[in-house]
Amino acid sequence: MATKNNTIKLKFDSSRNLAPAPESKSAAKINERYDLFINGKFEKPLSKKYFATINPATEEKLSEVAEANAADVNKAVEAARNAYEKTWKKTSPKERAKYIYRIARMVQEKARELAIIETLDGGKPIRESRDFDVPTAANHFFYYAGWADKLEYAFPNRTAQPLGVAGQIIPWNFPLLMAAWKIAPALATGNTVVLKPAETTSLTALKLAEIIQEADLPPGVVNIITGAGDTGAAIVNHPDINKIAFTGSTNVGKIIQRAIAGTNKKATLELGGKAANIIFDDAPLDQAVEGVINGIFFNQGHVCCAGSRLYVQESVFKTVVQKLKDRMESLIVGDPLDKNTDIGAINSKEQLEVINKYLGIGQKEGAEMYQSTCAIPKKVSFAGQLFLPM
Amino acid sequence: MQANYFYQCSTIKQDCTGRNFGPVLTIQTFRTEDEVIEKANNTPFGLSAGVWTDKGSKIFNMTTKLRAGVVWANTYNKFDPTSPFGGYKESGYGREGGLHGLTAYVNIV
Repeated sequence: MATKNNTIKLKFDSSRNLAPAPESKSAAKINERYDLFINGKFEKPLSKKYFATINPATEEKLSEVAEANAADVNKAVEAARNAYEKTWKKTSPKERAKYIYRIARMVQEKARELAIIETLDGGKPIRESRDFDVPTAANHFFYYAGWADKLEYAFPNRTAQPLGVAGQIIPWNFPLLMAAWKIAPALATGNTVVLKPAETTSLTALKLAEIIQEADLPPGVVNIITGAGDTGAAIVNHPDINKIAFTGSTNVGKIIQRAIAGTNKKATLELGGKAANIIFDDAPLDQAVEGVINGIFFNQGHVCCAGSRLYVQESVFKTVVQKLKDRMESLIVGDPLDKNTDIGAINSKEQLEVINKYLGIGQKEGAEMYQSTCAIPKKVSFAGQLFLPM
Repeated sequence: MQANYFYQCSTIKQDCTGRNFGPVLTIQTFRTEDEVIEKANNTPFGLSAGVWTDKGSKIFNMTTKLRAGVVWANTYNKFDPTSPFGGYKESGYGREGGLHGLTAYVNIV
């Protein structure tokens, strides 16, 4: 059908009823309770506290995980320091590479289970955790395993010395992938690690801990402890940590930067974004629209580099907006475990409230809003749901 | 959560949906390259950007002027362990991934 702007409307039949194709939950083993992974063992937290981790799509409790307090953090850092001084620093680069390759292969072997747990715990579509998160995480381990015994080529005519103990704090949007991003280069360069996943998405990091245990990595080289902001603060402020790697919000990034000012700690901070996506009138528009849709709706937009500001050259504005609307209509919002789902659940109730708040602000400031008319599944609670007036 | 987008926010309030970190897209128009570079850079952040055009010279002009750690051209959200990732301005500092990602974990003597 030709529209006013002389564009051909894409014929997506969004009313088609695809048969549900849910991935099986039974392929993933989730313990009822997870302790802290310190010194190669799962240990009960000194805090004696646990908190529930839920499936944001159904609000069912999946498991409970330990809440590490300052004493637990201290124990993990001591284990990491001990492993660094006594074992890892002296382990030959070739040996280090072997361990990292082993972890990479085991992530691949357990890919299906990891993908299911990632989707259950975080709400992202199984298609994304299966096709993107888990394979990319394995690739990261493979890539950095390759560097471990080639550092002299990475830094020719110079010597690269490890820093010591790295404290790593990761976000909830790509839990396993971010753990891989942080752990792989740290191990390859000879550092030991204390890693804390986000409190809403701890499970795949704990599964990774099981893999690391099974891979026989020397105890204490990687320690994975769970908890919320206070646990993270205890890591950042621990005097025996040499490096902080953080991915998360700009606000917390600023707090971390203030906290480590005047110390010897090195830091890398990967914080928020508000990316511009720019379409010129000479662009292949259909391809661009696909890219824009991918840029903003990938992982429900929970992506630090999501293309959330679109700039369209005036002459093609109407065409692009129409194409975007058409394409949005064809997106399938649904059960994250269903293989047909394009958009899953918002990661948490708190996050949904943040989004709703900003939607309100946008409308108040006079922006015109369009929402796709697709049906929101009733069975999936999406941690609250959102229906805004058009 | 339905898929949302806003369009035609005012230039000054171009960030009218703030840091919502969700499936919300804001749309604005532009006429010239200089104009869109100014608009795109008018943010405290600088993590990534995307450019869609058929013209190679335009891509290179944009990638040198956009203050963003990653600029994707005619694609978006592509990740690879070999390519560094990180931000300008309030999007953070340091790079992860690739050779640059090693530098963050070593003292070079």
